[in-house]
Amino acid sequence: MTSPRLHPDPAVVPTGAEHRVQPATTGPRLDPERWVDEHGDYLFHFALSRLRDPVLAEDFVQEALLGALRSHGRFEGRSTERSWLTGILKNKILDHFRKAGRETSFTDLEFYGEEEGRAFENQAFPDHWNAALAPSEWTDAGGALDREEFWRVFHSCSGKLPERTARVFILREVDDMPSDEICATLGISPNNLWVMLHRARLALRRCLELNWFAARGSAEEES
Amino acid sequence: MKGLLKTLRWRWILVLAALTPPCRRIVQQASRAHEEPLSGPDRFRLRIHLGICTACRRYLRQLDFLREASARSDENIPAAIRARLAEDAKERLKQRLRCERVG
Repeated sequence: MTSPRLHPDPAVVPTGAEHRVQPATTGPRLDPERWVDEHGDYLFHFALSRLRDPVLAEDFVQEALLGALRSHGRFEGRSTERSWLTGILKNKILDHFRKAGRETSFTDLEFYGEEEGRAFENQAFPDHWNAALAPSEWTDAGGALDREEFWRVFHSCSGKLPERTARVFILREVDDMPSDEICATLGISPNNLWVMLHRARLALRRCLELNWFAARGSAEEES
Repeated sequence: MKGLLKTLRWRWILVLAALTPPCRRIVQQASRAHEEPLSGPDRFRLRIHLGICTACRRYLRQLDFLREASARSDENIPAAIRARLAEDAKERLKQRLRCERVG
C-alpha cells in the first residue's frame, strides 16, 4: 500500500504523536474511492434533498470528500465513517446557505397562506377548523414508521414543500438545529421562521393524511 | 338522536369559541411552542382549548408524529426513490480524489 501524505499540515499533528495515532485512525481507512462506492449515493441524496439541484449536489459531495481527505487525521472513529462524512457535507451546505441567505431576501411566505386560509374557513365560527379539512383520526401512526410505503409518501410530501420552506423545515426537524441558529444561518427573523415552520407542518400533515392515513383507512374498509 | 348530538356539539363549539382563541390561532401557537415556551396565559388558554376541541388535540398529536418521522427520515429512504450518483459522476469523483492524493 502506498503511503500518501496523511497530515499535509504539520501543525495539525505534532511530530511524534503522528506515529501513535497513525495505525488506529488512518492507514487502512484512508480509501476515498471506497467512500464513493459505499457512501456516495447516500451523501448525494442528502445533498440533493437540501439543495434541490443535482449539479450543485454533486459539487458538494465532491467538496465534502475532498475536505474529508484533507482532514482525515481528525477522524478518530468516535462516529461511523458515514456520519463523519455526512457531518462534513452538512457543514459545507450550511456555509452555502449562510452566503445565499445574505444575498437574497428570504421569503416563501406567500406559499400555503391560501391553504391555511382554506383549512380555517368556517362561516359559522370564523377561524375554526373547516369541517371537511379538520384533522381526522390517524390509525396506527406508530406502525407507519416501519412501512416502506409510508416513507415513499413522506418523502414525496416533503419534496413538494417550496424550496426555502423545505430548507427551514429540514434544518429544524431533520437536522434538529436550534431555531436561533437557523435564523442566524439563513439571515431571517424569528417570526419569519415560525410562520414558515408552521405552514410547512400544516402542509405536510395534510399531505400525509390525504396520501397515507386516509388512503389506507379506506383500503382497509374495502378488504 | 343524531340531531340532538349535533346540537350538543354545536353548543360545545360555542363555548369553545367564547372562551379561547380560535383553532387557527391555537395551532399557530402549538407550532411555535416547539420553538420557544409560551407565556403562562397562552399556555392556559391552549390547555382549555385542547380540553374541548378534538380536532386541535389530534393536530397536536400529529405534529408530534411529524416530528418523530422527520427526525428519522434521513435513515428511511426507500431504495426505489433514493437519488443515485450516475456511474460517470462516481468516476469523476474518484478521479478528483486520486488527483488530490497524488498532488
